[in-house]
Amino acid sequence: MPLIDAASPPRLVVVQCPDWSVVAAGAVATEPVAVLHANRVVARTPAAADSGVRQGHRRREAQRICPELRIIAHDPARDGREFEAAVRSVAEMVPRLETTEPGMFTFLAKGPARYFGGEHAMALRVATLVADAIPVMHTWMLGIGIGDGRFTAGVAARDSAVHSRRRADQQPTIIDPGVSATRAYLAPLSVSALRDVGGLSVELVDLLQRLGLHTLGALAALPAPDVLARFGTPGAFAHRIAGGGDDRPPGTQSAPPDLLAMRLFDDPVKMLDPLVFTAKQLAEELHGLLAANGRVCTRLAVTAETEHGERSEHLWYRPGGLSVAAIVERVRWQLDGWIRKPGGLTGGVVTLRLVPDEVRSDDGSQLGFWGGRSEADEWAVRAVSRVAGLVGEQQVLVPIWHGGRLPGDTYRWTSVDQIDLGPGAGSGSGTGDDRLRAPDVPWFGQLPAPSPATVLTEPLPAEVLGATGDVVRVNGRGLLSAVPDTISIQSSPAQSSPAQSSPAQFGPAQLITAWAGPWPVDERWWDPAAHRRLARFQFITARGTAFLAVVEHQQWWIIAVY
Amino acid sequence: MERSSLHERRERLTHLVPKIGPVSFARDRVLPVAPALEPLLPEAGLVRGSVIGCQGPTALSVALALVAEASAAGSWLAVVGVPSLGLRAAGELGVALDRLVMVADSARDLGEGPWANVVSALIDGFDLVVMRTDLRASAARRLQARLQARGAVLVLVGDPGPFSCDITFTSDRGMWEGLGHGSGRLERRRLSVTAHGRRLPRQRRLDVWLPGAAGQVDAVHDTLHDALHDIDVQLPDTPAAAYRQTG
Repeated sequence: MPLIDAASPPRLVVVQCPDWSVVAAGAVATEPVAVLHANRVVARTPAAADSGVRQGHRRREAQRICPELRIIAHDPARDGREFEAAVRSVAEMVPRLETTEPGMFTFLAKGPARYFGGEHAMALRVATLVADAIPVMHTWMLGIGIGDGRFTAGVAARDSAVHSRRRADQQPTIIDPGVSATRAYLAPLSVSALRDVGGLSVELVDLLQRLGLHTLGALAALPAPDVLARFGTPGAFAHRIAGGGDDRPPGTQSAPPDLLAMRLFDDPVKMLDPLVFTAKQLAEELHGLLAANGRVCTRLAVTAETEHGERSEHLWYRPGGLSVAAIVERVRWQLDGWIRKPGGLTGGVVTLRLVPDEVRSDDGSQLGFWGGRSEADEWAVRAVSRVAGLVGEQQVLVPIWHGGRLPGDTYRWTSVDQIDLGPGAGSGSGTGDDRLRAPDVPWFGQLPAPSPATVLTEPLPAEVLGATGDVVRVNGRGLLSAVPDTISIQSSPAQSSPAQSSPAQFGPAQLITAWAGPWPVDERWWDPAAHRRLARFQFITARGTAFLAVVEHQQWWIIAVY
Repeated sequence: MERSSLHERRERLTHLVPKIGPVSFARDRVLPVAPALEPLLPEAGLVRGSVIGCQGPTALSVALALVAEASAAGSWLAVVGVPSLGLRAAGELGVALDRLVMVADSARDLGEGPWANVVSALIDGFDLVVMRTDLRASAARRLQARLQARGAVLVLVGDPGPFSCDITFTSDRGMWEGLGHGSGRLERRRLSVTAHGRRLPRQRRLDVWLPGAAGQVDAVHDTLHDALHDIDVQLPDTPAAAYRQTG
């Protein structure tokens, strides 16, 4: 199993469509459109960008900046499916095309460049092919970068996208071959490219900037051993790619030839879902085989064939390694686009094959050790979006810290579209923790732990009587008119109509065996509309149930059960 | 000579058996529970794919206490049909609130079919699902099969309906401590929890503090210390005593 030649990075073409999600949604570049995921802008059209809408803006913010903005919900499946057409049309011209994510693919420059008469001509040809495959693409500019190694080509593609749009003329950015030319090109660029293109962490880039290393050239000029000593493996990797070196993670190997997962169907399958289900089994099988050797697949070939010999083959690349969920997602994108292609398929699928093309030793990076996202998080976030699709986002709730003296106030429920459940896709500091962060100081007037397990959504009216049979009252100074003796609770929440207080609705009186209170609350006295003045009590009845009750305007309410 | 070597071989064999047996297999499929509740469960944890029922007036507290440890260890928890869940109490028990998601009860108006799909989608993505059920038998069978395939744990609060529970926990109202007659406050509750089910050869019964002094679940140590505590005698707070209590 030979190690891939580490000396010279291969010459690659990176084709990138910035803001692919909007293109996939069918938006024209001149119309202001944004795609939102978890209430944040993930992609927008150039028209929207000109008005000032940026990635990461919240919905309200974006609408304030650009009131005519059309908003489309994020749909990764749509992104993958629509991109399939572009990939298919280019893959007919170039071999071994690999897709990193919807909106971005990479291939080796050498062969196609010779065939099409030079790198520049080839780049323009690819742009035409993509635009022909996706009608709306004619109004957009692609980023096409050619350079040594994935990082250089990726930076060039980003540069090309920006310049093509500015000049309204599709032009590729081509970096001359050779380490010195690459290094010269990268040197003046900002280290933020390491984050945006190289996939390095926000923290590392931030640290480099704070240490005064603003350009890739400044980082590359440092001695490699010192960088390794100070910044560890990620730093060494950043140093290597900043200097135009090889950007494949160490330990990358081509996969052993006998390693594959395949399923032959006796009955041709025409539907997508059974295929995806099979793909999940295959992915788990493959993942198990690789994990047994402590390796993870970074490049995977997915092949499907129909009974009539139609064939869809794709290479998928993911630098962090392909987890089971990632594999299943990619198979879905590929097959969904293939099955729905114009004209459709003539037969059902008989073969589905997953072949790892490139593997590397698994350093566990995909499982996120320190605050990153684990596989469980990924599954759960996915399930949440599916349930939100079934019942509506307003119906899926998560806790949010609110603060207050009553048990229902400390945390409240908020609908999932208000917050970012998954921290902004690897951006490190997620807002997921912020929503639950309580201040370090205690909340004055809050009852100490333990808190009631059941907090009634609708308080139940109650009647607390003293030994003489009179309703117990609490005066303004917090003094009781009598010792609480019995409590009777209305069995159903109060109707909003005022004419409801007939005593017949109350349940049987229960003897109070232990009690404490009153603990007064006088909240928001400065605001007449929100002002609340009440007193809290804890009761234990003869049946052994413990209640939290409040009395407000001389009316008793049960608000929680312990 | 012959006998002793036979004996020796047997000895060696008994040492080998646990090593070559599928030791880690069953444990891999178990989610952790709080140490105080471990004696109630045959595998000392929640077996993935199982259905657990919680009944009695304090069923919700027991259900939350059961899932708290796994939630804290990284599992996601979905809550269905329990709109009155006390979030602060859940947090005190150790449930990670940032991995807690609830589906509002009004979503149930969609009808039986879509509702079952919602629960099934939750089972797909979440390790733990706490639910008050009103599903029909056909949907329950489908969900139970899904549960086993996906390896989630379903904790049913109240009447399990058509689900067949692997273990059922029944808890009484318990005895509260700390509240007097016009004085004190609710401090902790001694709860008697009974576990029975097809995974248990005979019924198990355990007393726990649920909630304990800080809202968490604690084991009851029926020792001299507790006996003295009951009659209001202060024990010297030696490190050894503190260690015994926590350890």
